[in-house]
Amino acid sequence: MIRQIKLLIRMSVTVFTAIYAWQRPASYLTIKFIVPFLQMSFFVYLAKFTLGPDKLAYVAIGNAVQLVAFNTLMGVAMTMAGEKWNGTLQTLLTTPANRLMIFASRALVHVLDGIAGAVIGLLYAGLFFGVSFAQTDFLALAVVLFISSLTLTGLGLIVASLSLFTRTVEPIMNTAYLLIFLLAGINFPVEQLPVWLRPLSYLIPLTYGVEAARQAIAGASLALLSSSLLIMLGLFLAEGTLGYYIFTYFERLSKRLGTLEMT
Amino acid sequence: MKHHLQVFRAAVRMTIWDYLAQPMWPFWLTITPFAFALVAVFLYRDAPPKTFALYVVLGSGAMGMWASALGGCSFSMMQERRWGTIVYTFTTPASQLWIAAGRSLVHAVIGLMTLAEIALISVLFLGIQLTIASPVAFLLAVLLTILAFAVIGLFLNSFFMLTRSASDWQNALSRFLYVFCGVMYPISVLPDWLRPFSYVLAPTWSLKAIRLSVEPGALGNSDYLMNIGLTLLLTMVYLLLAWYLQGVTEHKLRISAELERI
Repeated sequence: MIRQIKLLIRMSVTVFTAIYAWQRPASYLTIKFIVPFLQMSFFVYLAKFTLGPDKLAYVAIGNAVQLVAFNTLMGVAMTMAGEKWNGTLQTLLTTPANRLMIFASRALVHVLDGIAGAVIGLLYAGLFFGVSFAQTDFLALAVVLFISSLTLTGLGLIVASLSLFTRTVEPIMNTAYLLIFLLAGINFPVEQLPVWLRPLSYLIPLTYGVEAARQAIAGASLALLSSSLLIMLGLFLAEGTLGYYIFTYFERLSKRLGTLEMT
Repeated sequence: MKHHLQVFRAAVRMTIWDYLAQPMWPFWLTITPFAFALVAVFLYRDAPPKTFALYVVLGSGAMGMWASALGGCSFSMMQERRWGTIVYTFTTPASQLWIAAGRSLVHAVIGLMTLAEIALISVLFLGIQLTIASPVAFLLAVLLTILAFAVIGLFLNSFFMLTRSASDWQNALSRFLYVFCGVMYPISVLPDWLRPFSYVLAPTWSLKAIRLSVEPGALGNSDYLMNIGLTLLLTMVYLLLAWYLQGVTEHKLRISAELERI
């Protein structure tokens, strides 16, 4: 077990270097600091005009926490597409390496990146949009952010699997992210969605994560949030397993049809 | 001039062919503003129908035009880089500015699709009535908005030539205009220190003109005419800046030889 963990950490560091070493800091910092600030501003000012100043905190926290999806879901979803573009997918998938380990090492970087994104968002919420952290249970908030980020890797794996079989995965990834953005109770409560759409919301771990984060900021303890966290972990297991099977299915199919490198 | 117009027409034709070859492209370019507009539909649920039409329907159209103009320009550049054709385009004697102008215009017009989508949803499912009292004034303001977005796309084209992370910058720049142009809310909602950004953006004024054009007699309204004038003035300034920047960028790229870097 310890050997596996060491291997996972070693692989993650290598992947992190491979992903970010070539990138210029300005580009990474834009995605990390400027895009979230602008997106939060847009929805906070929209809410200020439509719902009044009382709802600013609700929208600001929702938009801050959803940044885990922006980073984790999109990052994980792009892992296989990135290998394909760089021409390394065929080499990677012809090795006998454990597929779960390959995926987990790539996901770990984005889980941590997702948490960093949400922390930046919450800082903006406090500095610019009047969110108070005076009552916050910071331990509960940290656990909520970690589990929110981790659980989105399940959905990310499902989307990443599709890139083994499609020319370009970005449209699917963008659609998945925007559906989460619309349905996860980020800007308005899930109860305001049409009844037929709500079951979809309840299949998204972030729906529980955003609400749990609001409660943690209002002072709720970890014990009080445990049921939401357990539901999120349950969804993660279910979606992760489904993603893994889709991944192995598309891997076999792509190898049989010779479409692994199709771009 | 005739030669430039030929280049412009060819760029328009090529971009339309690109869209025909990838029919889902306009949909993917405008999916983000479409999703943002759907969120706005929920946030505006208690607003009077007229406010809804002015901000959600017309605002989503503006967001779509902008997303398409900006996304189209950056994707075109990224595609050319990946396909390895960027150097050939760059080294032809045709002016890069006119090639980019043709592309930007088509991308901005395609963005009107979001306006149609949200207008359709609003009329069919939400029972919102869209009445435009001054169709000529409305059409003029919409055309100027398309022109303003296309020229901003042209201005940013130089920048996209220099960076290999065009999509990252595109994400930031798209949201910049959503926040500051008052697409979905009046700019009076913004804090005072942020408003100067709004004042130097041509779409801020063209969107005000579009909203004024739904009232009767807009063509004789001094507010409407002032907004149209400011849009034209700022668009001309952007055009001059785009022309200047294109020259600087071309010179820089010829020295650094980094055009093909992906």
